[in-house]
Amino acid sequence: MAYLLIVDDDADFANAVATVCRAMGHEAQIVSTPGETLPRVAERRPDAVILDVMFPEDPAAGFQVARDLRRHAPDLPILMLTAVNQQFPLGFSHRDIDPKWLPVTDFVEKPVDFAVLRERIARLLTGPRGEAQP
Amino acid sequence: MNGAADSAAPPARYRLAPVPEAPAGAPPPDAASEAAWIEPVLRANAVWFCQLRWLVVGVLLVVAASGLVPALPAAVGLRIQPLWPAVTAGVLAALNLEFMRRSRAAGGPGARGSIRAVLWAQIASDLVILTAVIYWVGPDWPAASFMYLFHIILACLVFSPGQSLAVLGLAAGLYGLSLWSVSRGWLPASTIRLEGTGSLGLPTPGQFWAGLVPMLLVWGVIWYLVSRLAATLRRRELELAETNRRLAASSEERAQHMLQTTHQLKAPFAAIHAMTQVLLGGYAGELPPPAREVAGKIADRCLALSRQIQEMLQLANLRSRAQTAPPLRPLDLAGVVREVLGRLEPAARQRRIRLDAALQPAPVQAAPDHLTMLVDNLVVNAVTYSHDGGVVEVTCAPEPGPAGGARLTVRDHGIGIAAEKLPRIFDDYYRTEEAVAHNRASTGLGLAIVRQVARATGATLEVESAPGRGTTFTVIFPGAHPVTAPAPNTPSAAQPQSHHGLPADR
Repeated sequence: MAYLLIVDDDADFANAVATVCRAMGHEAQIVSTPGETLPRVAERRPDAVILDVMFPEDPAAGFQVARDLRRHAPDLPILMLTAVNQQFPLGFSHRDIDPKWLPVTDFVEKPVDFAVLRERIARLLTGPRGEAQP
Repeated sequence: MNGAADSAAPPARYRLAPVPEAPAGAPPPDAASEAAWIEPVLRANAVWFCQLRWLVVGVLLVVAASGLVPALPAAVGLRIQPLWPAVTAGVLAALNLEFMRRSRAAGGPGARGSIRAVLWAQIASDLVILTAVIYWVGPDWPAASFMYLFHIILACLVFSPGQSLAVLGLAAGLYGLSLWSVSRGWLPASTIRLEGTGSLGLPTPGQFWAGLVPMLLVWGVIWYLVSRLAATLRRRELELAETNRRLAASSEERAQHMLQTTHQLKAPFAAIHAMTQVLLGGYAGELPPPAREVAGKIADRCLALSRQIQEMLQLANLRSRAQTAPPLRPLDLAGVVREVLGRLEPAARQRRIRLDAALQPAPVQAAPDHLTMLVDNLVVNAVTYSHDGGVVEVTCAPEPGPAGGARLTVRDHGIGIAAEKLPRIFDDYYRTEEAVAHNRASTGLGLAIVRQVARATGATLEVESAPGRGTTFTVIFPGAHPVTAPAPNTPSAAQPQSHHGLPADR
């Protein structure tokens, strides 16, 4: 059983993702603000983090959280899960995964099909660390 | 009540300043923004002056060389001592090397402002050297006073009117001093004329002033005209730079706003969709079949609405950006297609639609996001209007011939489009009756986006279709460089019953 930390300001969405994680036999906890993330990770290190990008505090807070997490836990798998468009305008996708700019392991766009989400979570927990898996 | 607290904390105040109007009649931009704009211009000018100065060094060396063969200057009534121009050329060259170094370094961090000092040093040393050369050539040389005009005019172009007037003053002072020194006998008179100084006669003080004052008047008139003209041009240029800055800022702001809007509109649907999947996946207990059907419809409508929002925003953004299109970059079309197919494959698989790809490396010039959007919309369109269990074939290949370019085809074997409806399929929200019957949820914006992107990329769109047999979209990207590649291996089309070519700038 793995421990997953979900960082998302949308409680309904985060709860639905947590439900999927739990149904997969994992433990899932939710953090609703970017600021809480690092202390929670320091308190108890998760096996993977599922991270949103846009928060009411800062539209790009997810990027900074990902960079901070990478600095403190270089091996921690991070799945970026966001309603930000993968395409234009100002979109980003797998192509933009970058050790400095977007240091995440994988990237999925909301709305997400739960079959896809389950597959990505499973891959995140078993895949080679820190590598993009398109 | 709460008097102590009220007096301790200043009252909160919020002021919404009106957006300043654009340049027409507006006060000139502040000094800081002017400095930021003018510094690179000054640096470019300082470097340019250095380049021009090498010409002068060259001319002086030629004059010195001609002095080595006295017969040559003597033929035009001159007598040249080679030492003078050679030494002057050497001094000028040494100074110029130093000026070049300083002009280039002046743009570096922490060196801001020193570019003016470099320019002043260049002008001052030029004027001193010019005065020395004019003294050597002789006071009776008719072009002497005009030589200073180059520096006065250049100063008017790069400096403020006050500063260029100071340059004029410096030139007048140096020229006057040299003439006065000769007229008072402080310096021996010099000339390059063969007749020698004896025939010249030294100017009296009265002749000195009679020569200097009209010259100063001419310089003054030229300074006034050029500095006024330069100031007007500089103000216009500054206003233009400010307008450009504002345009860029507003474009950036709009893109940020678009991103926020996309997120704000899509996020609730993502949450609703996630919750329907909690229901449909049985995570909240088994649902009776009628309830499953309702939850499934909610999920479908959520996805459709989410995509519609995305497409409306994309199209609005594409159109508003038409004047400031993002820069085109060399990209491999095959890589983009592969990525899009990878992303869309799960959705196609749900309808048992196979995505067949035959992709050759095909270099194109396009904006990466735009190209992804174009390919994505064409493949989504093909999948949407295919029958369940069908096949969508995607090919890309470089165009043969020296012009280069690339060709993308997306072929489905779905419902097809009647010939008379083909010219309208790229219109906003246009959907044929057959399309609506086949898929009610589609937005009718996907092909409008395709057309907009093709236009921005300079690509040509072609569509071939036969009702009931399917549709083939072809995008022909223009070539930037000649490509030497094998001929494309495009599958031959079954006799199309209709064909519609759509130039990108329709």
